[in-house]
Parts: sequence; structure tokens; C-alpha cells
Amino acid sequence: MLEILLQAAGDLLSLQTMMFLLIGVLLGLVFGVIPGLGGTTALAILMPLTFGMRAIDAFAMSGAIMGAVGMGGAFTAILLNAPGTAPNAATCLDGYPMATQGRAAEAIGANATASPLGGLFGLFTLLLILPLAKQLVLLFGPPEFFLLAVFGLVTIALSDSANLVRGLIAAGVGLMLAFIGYDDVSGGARFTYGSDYLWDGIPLVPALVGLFAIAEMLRISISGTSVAADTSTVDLKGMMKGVRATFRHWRIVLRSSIIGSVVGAVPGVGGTVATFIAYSTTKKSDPDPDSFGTGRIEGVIAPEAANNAKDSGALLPTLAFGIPGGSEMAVFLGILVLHGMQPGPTMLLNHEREIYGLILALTFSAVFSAIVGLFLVRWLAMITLVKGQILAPLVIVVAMVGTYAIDSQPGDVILTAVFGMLGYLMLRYNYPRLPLVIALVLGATAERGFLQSMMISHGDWSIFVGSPASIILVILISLTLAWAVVTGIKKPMKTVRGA
Amino acid sequence: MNSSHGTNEPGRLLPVIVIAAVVAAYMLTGFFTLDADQRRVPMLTGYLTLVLLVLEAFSNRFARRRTRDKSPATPSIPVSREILALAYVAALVMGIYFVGYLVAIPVYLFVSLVWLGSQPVRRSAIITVTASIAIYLIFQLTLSYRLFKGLLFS
Repeated sequence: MLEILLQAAGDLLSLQTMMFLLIGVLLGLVFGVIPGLGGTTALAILMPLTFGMRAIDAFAMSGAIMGAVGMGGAFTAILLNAPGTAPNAATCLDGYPMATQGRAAEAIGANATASPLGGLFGLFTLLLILPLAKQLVLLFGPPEFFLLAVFGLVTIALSDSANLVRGLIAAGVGLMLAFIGYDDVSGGARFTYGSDYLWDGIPLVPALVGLFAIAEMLRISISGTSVAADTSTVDLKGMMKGVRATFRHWRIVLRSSIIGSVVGAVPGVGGTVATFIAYSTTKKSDPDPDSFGTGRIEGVIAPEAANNAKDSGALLPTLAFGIPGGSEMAVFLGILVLHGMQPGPTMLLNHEREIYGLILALTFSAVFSAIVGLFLVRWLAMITLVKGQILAPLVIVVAMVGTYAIDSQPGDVILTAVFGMLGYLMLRYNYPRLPLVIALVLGATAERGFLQSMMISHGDWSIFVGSPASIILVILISLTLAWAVVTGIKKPMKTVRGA
Repeated sequence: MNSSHGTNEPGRLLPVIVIAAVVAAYMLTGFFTLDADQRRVPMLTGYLTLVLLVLEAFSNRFARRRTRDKSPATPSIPVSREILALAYVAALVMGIYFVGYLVAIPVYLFVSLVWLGSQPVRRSAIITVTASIAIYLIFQLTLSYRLFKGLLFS
């Protein structure tokens, strides 16, 4: 492992790659600052533009975006009480009161210190666990691949307790889309309606750009957003006070980083849960919990440490098992596909060097984004003056250019628009998009695993409980379904009692 | 008629009906064009999705009855605005397909900014020209992406 790590470090430490990393940090900060955008949209827009890059450059930029977007989002959470990204919502609780008390600089300094510390902890944990995951992956055969895909689908589809059935419907639709194209198990094209364009199936990149970037821009241009930040109280002296406070509260940083890493590794749970758990744990363990929400610096340190640590946690199921931990990871998988890496458990075996390069890119970006962010906070906050109705058409146009650039196929542009409208309608009618994306990514793997298992066992279903790994996966799937059913029953009962 | 964004509105059977129709069409296609092995898993998925849609329809009706008397007031967006935004994107794609990026982009930007974004004409023109030139310089000249010229001009 050490040899591969050193090789990956050598790949990363070239002037060109570091330049892309810095660009990624700047883009991540910009996208993080604007409420409603965030890492998913940034990656979705930039994904096709990475096509001509070397893989390590693309991963450096993507990793930097993922690492920096939370930092940018915290700035608007503190200055405006408007989280730039959903996981930054917990930072608003104490960050904004600090800003109203003239202590915005202190909050920003604490955020800029806690974020990279949390990120570094998460990455260190990931580096320790990945070699173990690699050994686990070697035990996998077709039945295990099938069950893993089902587990990923079920976990993501049922992660939103308010929309259990809709999540499963979205997953079903995603699976049906995944079956379009040439089937290499049974042979022959399916559901292509005679179109050569669909012979290879629904291309992932245009679908992701449409579902996330175009759909979000449609939502922003239709509903309209306009925010403006006051940066007059941000100064260096105040920021250094926040930096010192973070090191003083190192126990909070450590505990929150652990929470972020663990929660982030569970597919579908999301960064928002990680940050709020970190916040509430810190509050409960404090001698004066009632003072939280009035401007306690611990209320900024805890969620921001967890926020960055969760990125590394989310990478674990994504890289080790091909199950994206969230929408950002789903789009990131599209970037991996674009650069010739097939999502799935074998990715860890076949592309170890690139993966360690990505992890190191995240490490560097965690530190760079803090330094760059501190210098640029005033200018970044000015971006919030741009209205959504101006930003949205510009971003749509860039996304459409990028999606054509991949294969120079007009069909990709049409597909992007179709998925963009689909994504917007899913937002409008409250159908989660992530299960559809996961199903699109995992559908082929699931079907191939199932059919191969049936061929091996001559139709005997007991093959799916024929190994310890399969049994564990079946138990996990059953527990996930049971939990979802219990939660689904409890919620209406609570509503009825309260009525 | 207005809509709310991202709210769990009860009684919204329209998406259920539309999805069910699409799934049914998908399954009929599979039944008539594919052999048994090819259609096994897609058909199974289709049946499961239809069952889920029926569940969703029932839960929508149940939720509608429960909340009939206490529907919260939610901020509303005119449906016409939504249709307009979607139509603009569709028009952009058609424009790209027929006349290419270099014509479609400036037209789309200007029209979107003025009519959907309600921006002043002068500001919209400046943004359109600046953005179009930037896209041309960055993508066509610097990154050497060959922007599609459209069916009419290629």
C-alpha cells in the first residue's frame, strides 16, 4: 500500500495537477457559497469538461471541489443564515448569531480550522480501512455482486423516511432505464426502438448533468434566489481567535470527525444527518446546553468538522463497493466512468493508484480550501449578489456545451435536456432523484449478477445464501427493509396522535 | 393554477398515472419485442414498480382525506412560469440541433434573461454578448472543442 501511495503522491505533485487542484478549490468555494448549488451541481456541470484531462487531473479537480464546497457553504451559513449546502444548515444555528454579535470573523476562523482537521481525520480513517475493504472485495462473486447492488438500491431508496414508496418507485424507473441497450448476458438490444444512439444504453454523464445541474438551474430560475452578504466585520484578528479556539476544543473536533466519518459511510444517510448529530452531541455533552444557539463557537466547530469528515466516509462505499453514498458521489462515479473506470467492487482492485491519488487530492484540498477561503471570503460573499435568474441560464448553457464535448453527439444534448426536465419534475412532485441515479448506475451490475448466479446454480435460489458474505448482505437488506417499514408505520401513528 | 416546490402534496395522482402509463408501455414493448430470457428481469421490475405505484396512489388518497381540513398555506409558483422555463430549455436544444451552438446560445440567453429573468434589456444584452464570447473563446479556441454547427450550417 505504501508504494502505491507514494506513486499516487508523485502523480499528484506535478505543477499541472496542482493547478487543477487549485482550480477545483476555487470552483468548490464559489459553488458552495451560492445557496442552491453545491458540490453535486458543480461536479455535474464540470464532469463532461474533464473528458480531455488526464485521470489524475480530473480526480484532483473533483476531489478539490468536494473538499472545498462545504467551506464555501459555511461562509453563507455564518454571514447570511442561509446554508450554501444542506449539511451547512447546522452551522447556521450558532454561526449566524455570532455574526450578528460582530464575531463573524471568529466563526469563519473556526470553520476554516475545523473543516480541514475533520477532513484530514476522515481521510486518515479511509486510508486505514481501504486495504481491508480490498480483501473483502476479493471474496465477492456474482451472487454477492447482485446482493450488494440490491443493498445499495434498497438503502438509498429507503433513506428518505418521508418518501419511502416514492424512493422505491424512482429506483424502479432507474432500473428500467438501466436495461435499455445491448444486453451482453442474453444478447440483443432491448428497448432501443431502433435507435443506434441507445445501443450502448443511457449514457451516464448526460443523464447526471441533466438530473442534477439542469434540474437545479430550472428550479432556481423558476423560483428565483437572491441573497447578499455583509462582510464588513470579517478581519484577520478575529479569524485567528477562531483558529485558536478550534485547537482548544480538540476533543469536539475529534468526536465530530468520528461521527462524520461513520455516518458518511452509510449510503443514503447524507451529510446533513452527520452535521446535526455532531452538533446535538456536542450540545448535550456541554455543561450549559441551553446556551447553544446564541453564538457558541463550539456550535460552529462541531458541524464543520463532521461535514468534511463525512466526505471521506462517503468515499468508502463508493470506491470499495461501487455504491454511491449520496448524490455527490453518484455524480463523481460518472467522472470515474468517463475516465475508463467501471464502478463496482473491482474498481478498488484495478485502479488502486488512481484512488489513492484521489484521496491525496482530497487531503490537499481540505487544507488549501481553508487557506484560500480565508483570503477570499469577502469576494466569495459578493457572489451571493448575483441573482438566480441570471446565473441559471448561464450555467445551463455551459452544461449543454460540456455534455456535447464528451462524444460530439447531438443526442447527448437532447438526453441532457430530457433528464433535466425529468429531474425538475421529480423535484416538483417530491420524488427523490438519488434512487433513480443509483439504479441507473447499479442496474446492469444487479441484472448481470442475478443472471450469472442463476446460470451457475441452474436456477437454484439458495446460491444467494451460499456464502457468509451473501448471508450478511441478505440480513442487512432485511434489516433495512424492516427498519423502513417500522419507520413508515410509526410516522402516521405519531401524526394521528398529535392531531 | 399554482404549484409548490418540493412539498409532499397529498392527492397528486398525476405523476402516478403518468409513470404507470410509461411503465405499462415499457412492459408492452418488452413483451412483444423481446424473448423470455431478455425480458425476465425488466418485466419483474415493471411489475414491482406498478405495485408500488398502486401503493402510492392509495397513500395519496389517504393523505388527502387526512389533510383536507388543515392544508397549510404554501408559497405558490405559477404553472405557466414552469412551462415557460421548460419550453425555453427545449427551444435551446432544438436551436442547438438545427442552427448550432453559436446561434442558439446568444438567442437563448437573451430571451431567458429578458422574459424569464425580467432583467433590463441593456443588462441582458451585455451579459449575453460577454457570455457568448467567453464560451467561444474558452471552449472553441482554448480547449479546442468543436461546437456543433447545427444541421442547417454543417
